[in-house]
Amino acid sequence: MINWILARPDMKKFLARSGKKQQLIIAERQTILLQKRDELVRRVNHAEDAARHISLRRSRGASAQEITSLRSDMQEPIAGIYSILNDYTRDLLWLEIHRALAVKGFVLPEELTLLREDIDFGLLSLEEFEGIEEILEEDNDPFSEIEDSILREFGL
Amino acid sequence: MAKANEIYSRLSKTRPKTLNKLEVAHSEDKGRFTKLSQDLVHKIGTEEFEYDSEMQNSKKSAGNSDIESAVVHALRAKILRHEILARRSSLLLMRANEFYHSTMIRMIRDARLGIELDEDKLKIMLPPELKDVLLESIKGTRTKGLLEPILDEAKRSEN
Repeated sequence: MINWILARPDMKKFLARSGKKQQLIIAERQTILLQKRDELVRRVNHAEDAARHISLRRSRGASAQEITSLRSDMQEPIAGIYSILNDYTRDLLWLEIHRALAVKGFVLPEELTLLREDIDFGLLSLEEFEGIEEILEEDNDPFSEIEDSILREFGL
Repeated sequence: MAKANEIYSRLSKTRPKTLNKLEVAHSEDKGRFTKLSQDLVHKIGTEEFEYDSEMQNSKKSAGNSDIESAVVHALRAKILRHEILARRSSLLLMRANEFYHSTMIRMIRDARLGIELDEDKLKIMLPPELKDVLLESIKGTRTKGLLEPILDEAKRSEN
């Protein structure tokens, strides 16, 4: 069962605050989240620019060696995307959950077991909120099946 | 389910006027969660559409031997996947609360009418949409292999 809400002092503290204060905290976190998202988009666009350049060079008959060399230009933005993505996702999850906590009439998940003992909360059953990082790291890497040689070229 | 019985027992001893007030309060709370759930469902739907679009573009690029663009589209798809996952977690809490208030309304009405609590009925009250959200949320954690078709295309075009 979801016991991490009560186990986390910051969430308990958040629930104890007034509605106005809760909205203020959410607004502050949303501003930070949007900044992180902007940065994420900027890095993806940077990688896209590099990809377009490679595509252009290829269409103009660049050699395989040159293409391989140009691919290294994509390494930096891709590494930058990876470094910020989990942080962004954790912040987004924090924000989404706290938006729910701040709704008037919110009932702690623990109380729901008064009505149904067998509700499975799936992802939210994580003992630790931070556990999301491990799940995302291990289960959501779309490049895990790419050949090693290609991965190396992209610095992945 | 003993605890549900305890709630019902408490409600059945409550004065009708108080029950009315309780029902109004739970109805308002339920309305809020219903509205927010609908908004979230709409947002997730939009993101899933964008995700599918990025996946298709990635596949198309890989098929055209444009591996670099395929990687960029796959990265965008990955970001969207993370966002969908986070929003589904919130949706789960919203739906669970909607269910809670909905169940309380029903128990209040039953208590007011003197209808005995039927535990079996309570057991099947979990609405299908909440079941779906629960399943989807669990599915959302299993994203390994999500982009395998694209990667296969990429491998094929490299050969």
